[in-house]
Amino acid sequence: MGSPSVLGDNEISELPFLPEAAGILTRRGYALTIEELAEEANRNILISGISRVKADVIGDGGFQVPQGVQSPELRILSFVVASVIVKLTKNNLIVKKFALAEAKRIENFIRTIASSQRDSAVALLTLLYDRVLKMRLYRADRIIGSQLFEFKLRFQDYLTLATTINAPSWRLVNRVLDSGFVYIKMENATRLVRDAIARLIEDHIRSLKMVKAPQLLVEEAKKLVEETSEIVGSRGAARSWSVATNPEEYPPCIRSLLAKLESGENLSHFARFLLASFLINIGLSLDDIIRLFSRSPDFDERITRYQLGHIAGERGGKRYLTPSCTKIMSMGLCVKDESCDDLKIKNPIAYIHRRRKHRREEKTKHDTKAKGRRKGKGVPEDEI
Amino acid sequence: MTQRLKVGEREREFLRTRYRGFYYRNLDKLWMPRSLPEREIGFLTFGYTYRRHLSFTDDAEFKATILRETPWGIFYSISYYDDPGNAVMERKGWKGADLVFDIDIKDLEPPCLKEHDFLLCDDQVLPYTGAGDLSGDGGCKKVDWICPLCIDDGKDGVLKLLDVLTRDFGISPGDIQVYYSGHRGFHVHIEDGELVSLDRRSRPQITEYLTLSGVDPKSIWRLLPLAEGEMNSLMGWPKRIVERASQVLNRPMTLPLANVLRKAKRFNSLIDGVIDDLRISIDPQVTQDISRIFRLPTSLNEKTGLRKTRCDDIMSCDPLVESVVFDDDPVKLHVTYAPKLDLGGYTYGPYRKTTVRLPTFVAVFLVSKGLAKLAI
Repeated sequence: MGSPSVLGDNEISELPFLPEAAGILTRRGYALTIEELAEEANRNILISGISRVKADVIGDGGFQVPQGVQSPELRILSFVVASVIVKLTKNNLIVKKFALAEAKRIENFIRTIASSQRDSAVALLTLLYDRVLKMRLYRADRIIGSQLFEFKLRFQDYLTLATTINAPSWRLVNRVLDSGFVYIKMENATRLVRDAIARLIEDHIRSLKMVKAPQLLVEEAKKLVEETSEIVGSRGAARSWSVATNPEEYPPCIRSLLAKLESGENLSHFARFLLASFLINIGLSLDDIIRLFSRSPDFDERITRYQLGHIAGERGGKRYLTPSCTKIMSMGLCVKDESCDDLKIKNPIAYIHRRRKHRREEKTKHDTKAKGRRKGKGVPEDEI
Repeated sequence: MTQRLKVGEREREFLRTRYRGFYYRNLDKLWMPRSLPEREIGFLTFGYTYRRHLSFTDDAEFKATILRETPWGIFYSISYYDDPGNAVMERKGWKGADLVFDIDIKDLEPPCLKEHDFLLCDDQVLPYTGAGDLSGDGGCKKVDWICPLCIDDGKDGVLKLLDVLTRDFGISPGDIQVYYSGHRGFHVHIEDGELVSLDRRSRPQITEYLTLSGVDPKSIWRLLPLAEGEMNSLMGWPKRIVERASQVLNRPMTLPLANVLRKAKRFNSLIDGVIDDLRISIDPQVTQDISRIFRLPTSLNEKTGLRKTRCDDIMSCDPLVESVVFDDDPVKLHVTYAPKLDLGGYTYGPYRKTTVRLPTFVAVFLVSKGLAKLAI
């Protein structure tokens, strides 16, 4: 199964985390230690690795090994360097971003070769299912109605992969199922394996062991963390980077629930769910949330911890999203004020970062105005 | 919401004695779940309380407890646990679960329900014409009845389910066991070791598939054949749906049908209508909720005193005869009200405020329903 007979070093080097990739390095005389990688003589490898990790974590993932040096070993080694840098950041978010971007690159690569080198694409996918998922991807090449389905998966395997994707088209009810097999197209097979590749790369990075990292790479990692936090900060996307622990930053509905809790009032099931899912999704720790709930009259730490864990998607479950404003309104818990309208939020979770962004913008406006006013009054430059 | 009619203390003692006798005589024939030590067991007692989180190390211990305690209802978890007796759900250590389906005859909406189901408001019998009737008076109790017609509708539901389970899911018929629940439903158990590991996110997708909920008409539209030979290549639901559309539109299963469907302005509503006919009515919760406990096959159903009985051949199976376990020794009863009852191959009633002698199995049925008192 998964015989890479039609796969050359070029194709294998697109899956640098597989043992076969290490084999290529050994065969071509590139079995280098991390220390050796950081040596001046291997500058081109280092540069490729750095640009790879930047493209993945900061950029749009559009990394290309520089023209002229597109050798399989360079492609594999740039992944090794990139992984080491990511490991050295000790930042989970960076690990995740890197792994996902790498997984998407593989997805794109297979898509690209699917039309011109169909056999290679099929072989790569088969290999990926075998090694990454430990599943068998069956060749179907079957026409059903007007459509051609290249592959089929046992329905149990399909469900394992597809339940993590939200789009309705992936639900079993919208698939062709026959004799225990779900029929899928090449592009479906490619998409389905992506998340597992990302997880495998995350595990790969976590399991990297480094006794002493080369200083050069440590510095690259430091730079990466700085650049990432700038990017993330300016987009305001990484809410988990600065957890809002001050309830004054929370939307009115959440503040009102906290006040009720404070006064020892018993909250309804939905109110508890709303509060818990909000606090979990802004990144508060379960222990902190349990402390808040401990004021509830019927508090039972064991049950609370279990329920919070469930909402947070621990033990492999799915993390619950915070209910939308519409839902909160329909449950009679919306106590919105003009701030909600101003920020145009549809979900309380958006409140915090929109408010922060709004304040920043206001401040900038205010500062510029102030600047202008003072200038107008002829205040000397050096006083500003 | 209405509640079940309460059974008086003396009547419960009557039932308890009969149940004990039944379990005593049939102990070795009682069905035992695979891997019993990994199952949670639950009892409904004759004192109207549920005892959950019981566990037994072997069949003999389980059976001895059944004899000693004589439960009114016996249930087992479809899940396998490391520590099934732990009262805290998340500490039981879930290992897997059987795949089970419950076809509730009520959900099939057979027309006979309106004829034989009724409301008992204090002593007054009112016809039951739908859920709307229950508003207002909280003193009314709804009584569910069974007749050969609704049992047949249930059998049709089972056949539809079996068709999809075997053809689409590829489950071997030998791994499927069908049971009449002893009241108004059929239970389908899948004994396939591989499906045990399906997790709680996968199970809802199976119920969605069976009930066609969330089906996107576009997913079918996209498959519509463009060439003559392609019609025969359809499989699964798309095939059944196009076949049904062919019946509805009275056109053969050939390319012109596909062309008509592709252009049909109201493809979505046409498909919606067809889907309503085809969907399989199962209770999604029973399949999805892996923390549930399920009635033990071959045990007695507390709502009727009938046994949850295997229907090896669903077509020839006669649940209202085969599930009867008690003898026909006469029992004298005061019956408040009972519609006509088909049981054990004979027809009884209807009865209205009367004292009659009835065979034990009929007496057990009426007493279990709370419609009769012992007249001694």
